[in-house]
Amino acid sequence: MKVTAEQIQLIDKALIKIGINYADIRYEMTDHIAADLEQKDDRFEHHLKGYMLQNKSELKKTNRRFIFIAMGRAYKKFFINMLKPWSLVIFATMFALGMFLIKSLGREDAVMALFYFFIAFSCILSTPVIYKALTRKNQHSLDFGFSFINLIILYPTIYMVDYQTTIANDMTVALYYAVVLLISVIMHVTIWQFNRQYKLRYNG
Amino acid sequence: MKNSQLYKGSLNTIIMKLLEENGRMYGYEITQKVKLITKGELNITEGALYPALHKLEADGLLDVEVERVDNRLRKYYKLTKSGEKETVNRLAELEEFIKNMQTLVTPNINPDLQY
Repeated sequence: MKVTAEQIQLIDKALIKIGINYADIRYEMTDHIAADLEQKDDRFEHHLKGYMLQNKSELKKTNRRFIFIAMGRAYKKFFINMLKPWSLVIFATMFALGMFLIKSLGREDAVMALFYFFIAFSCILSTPVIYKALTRKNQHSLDFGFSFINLIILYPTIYMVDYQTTIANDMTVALYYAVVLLISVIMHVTIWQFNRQYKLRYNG
Repeated sequence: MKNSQLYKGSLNTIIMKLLEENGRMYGYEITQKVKLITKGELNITEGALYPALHKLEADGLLDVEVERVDNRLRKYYKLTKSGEKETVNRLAELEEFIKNMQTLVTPNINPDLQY
C-alpha cells in the first residue's frame, strides 16, 4: 500500500505525541516509518499503532542521540566562527565601543548602557528562536544546543552590573562586555547559518 | 541490530561500504539492503542506524540530499570525497581485523588460504 498525505500527517502527529519535537528529526523518522508501513497490508492505523508501541522507547532514544549529535555540530560550528577574522573585528569594535563609553559616560553609566544594549540585542535576535520554541513550529535539533549559551552569558552579565564597582581596571570591564557581545553575535550568526541550511535542505 | 559489540563497531564501515556500492541511499533502504545481503541475520534498528548516519554526516564523511518522495521528505545520504577515501581505509582495516581474528580463533588454518 502507498501511504497518503493524510497518513503522513498521522505519523507526524504520533511522533510529536511521544516527544519528538524537532522537525528535521521527524522528517527522517516519518519517512522510515512510512516506508516500513508500506510493506504491510491496508490496515494503516492498526500497523502505525503497533509500530509506535513496539518502537516507542527506541524512537525516544534515537531522538536524544540526534539532539546530542546536533549539539556537537552546533558548538563545533560556533567555535569555527569564533576563529574567523570577522570575529576579531567584532571583538575589537565592541572593546573600542566599551572603552569609549566608559571614558565618555563614566564606568557606571557605561556598564548600564552596555548591559541594556546586550539585553536589547539578545531579545531582538532571540525572538524567532523563542517564537519557534513556544509554537513548536519548525524547531530544529540544533536549536536545543544554543538555548544554553544565552543563559550561560546572561547570569554573569546581570551579576557584572554590581560587581564592576569592585574592579579597578576599566579595560577589564570593557573586555568582559566585548567577550559577552562577541559570543552573542557569533551565536546568532551560527543560528542564522544553520536556519539557512535547513531552509535550503527541507524547503528547496 | 544484533546485540553484539562486534557488529556495532563495524556499523559505520557497513554503511560506508553500502554507499560506496550504491551511490546514494536513504535510511530504510540501508536497513533492508543489510537484511537482504545477510539473509535476515543482521537487522539494523533505527536507533543504531540514524545516529551513526548523523555522526558520519557531522564528521564530513557523508553528504545529504533531501527530496520529496510520495508525499513526504526523504533524506538521501552519499559519500563525500573524504568519505570515499575513508571507506577505503576502513575496509582495509576491517579486512585486516577479520584476518587477525581468524588467525586467533582458528590458529591451524592459514588465513592467506581463506582469500
